[in-house]
Amino acid sequence: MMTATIALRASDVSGQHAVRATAVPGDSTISELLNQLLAKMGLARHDVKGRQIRYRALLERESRHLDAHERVSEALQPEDLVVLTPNVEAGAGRA
Amino acid sequence: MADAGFQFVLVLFREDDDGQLGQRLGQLPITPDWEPAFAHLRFWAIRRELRPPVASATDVCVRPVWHARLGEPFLDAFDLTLDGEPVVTDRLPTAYLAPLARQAVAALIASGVVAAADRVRFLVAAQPGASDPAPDADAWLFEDVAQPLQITDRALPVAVAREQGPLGQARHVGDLPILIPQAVIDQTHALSRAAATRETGGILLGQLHRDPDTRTLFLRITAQLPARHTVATETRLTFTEATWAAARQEVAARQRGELLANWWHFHPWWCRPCPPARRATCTLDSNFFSADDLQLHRVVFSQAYATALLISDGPTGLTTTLFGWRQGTIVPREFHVVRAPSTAKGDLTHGPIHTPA
Repeated sequence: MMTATIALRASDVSGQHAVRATAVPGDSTISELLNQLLAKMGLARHDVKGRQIRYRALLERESRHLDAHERVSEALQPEDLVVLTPNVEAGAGRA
Repeated sequence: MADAGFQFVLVLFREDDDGQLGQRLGQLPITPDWEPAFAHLRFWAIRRELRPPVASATDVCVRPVWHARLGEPFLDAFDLTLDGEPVVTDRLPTAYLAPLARQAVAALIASGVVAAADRVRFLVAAQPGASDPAPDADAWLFEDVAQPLQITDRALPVAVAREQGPLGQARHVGDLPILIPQAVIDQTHALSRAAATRETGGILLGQLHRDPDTRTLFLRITAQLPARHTVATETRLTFTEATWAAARQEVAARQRGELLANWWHFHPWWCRPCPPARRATCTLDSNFFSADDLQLHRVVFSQAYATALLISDGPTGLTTTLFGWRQGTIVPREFHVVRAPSTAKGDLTHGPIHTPA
């Protein structure tokens, strides 16, 4: 059975690193989308202590972060831009 | 393919009494993080107008430079080559992989193979075989989208240009000239003082300009945005997803075509509560870029022109240090303080060059 796909755009926070995916399965989740985008864009998955870096997909059209379990076909429209926003720490880290 | 079909391997040796390679401790395959070095090469070509101002592409190839004395498979360096004409290359020392080597040594220490006091050296070897398999996403038909860098004409302040020389070289050959208004520094200091014993930070916006006469490319910081939605403690500052969303909204609302490519943060003086006698022997210093700082810069600010301003509190008050990329490695670097408002002709007042200690 064919799965409907849509085309999406994605960028990092700076907007200077961008990709386009032309065949994202509509039934994939935002979590799956994030994983594919992180791999494609070569963004760090783990911090210096080996902990996973949490990213969320920001849908700027709606000014909201998408939930990991949302379906692409339900949350996104063709050519939507999602921005990969990390939760990252700075500082001396001695706490 | 980025690595031209090579798998790179880190080979660790105990250093002998003569400072030479001693006992071989082991080896491990590595997947280097090439992107900062690639970004450096691409931006180097843009600065010299050898390539159009387009950021991010999969267009750099890495080849080993065989070790002059030990020969293949050991390396002296890596040659990075940018696709297209004219040929643009960069020779990257194996020291680029020192962070990976430090991680490997830490694992050896943790497993008891070496003692913390031992001196360990590393060599890099290359074997046939790609180290970076393509991500399992081919079916999604990904394609890179070239993002043009907005570069506008603007005169480089005369005093800065004089120091740069005709080739646009900073005191450290190759560094991008960076101008920071005194007002921006003042704002970061005021916010740091207000935070007192907690970390704080923000985003620095900027614009890239090319001097129409000398063709020198430079970065001008234009504004400071206090980071919103962060989580701060005495020794930690978390930039959350909401922080970046808010920053992007603010940049868009300003409509000035500014780059969200720089940041700043504050390290309090952690030694303040300690008695003077203890401070005298304490190596704790707030004026350093921590492993977490490096990580944040790599994750969010990997562009070759991206910088980080660190405000540190200490016995002499606040100090200001700028960190930035140099050949794919984050280092303290010089910057120029602009003390007066800019004019259309760009004849700004030149401030001192801050040289990291």
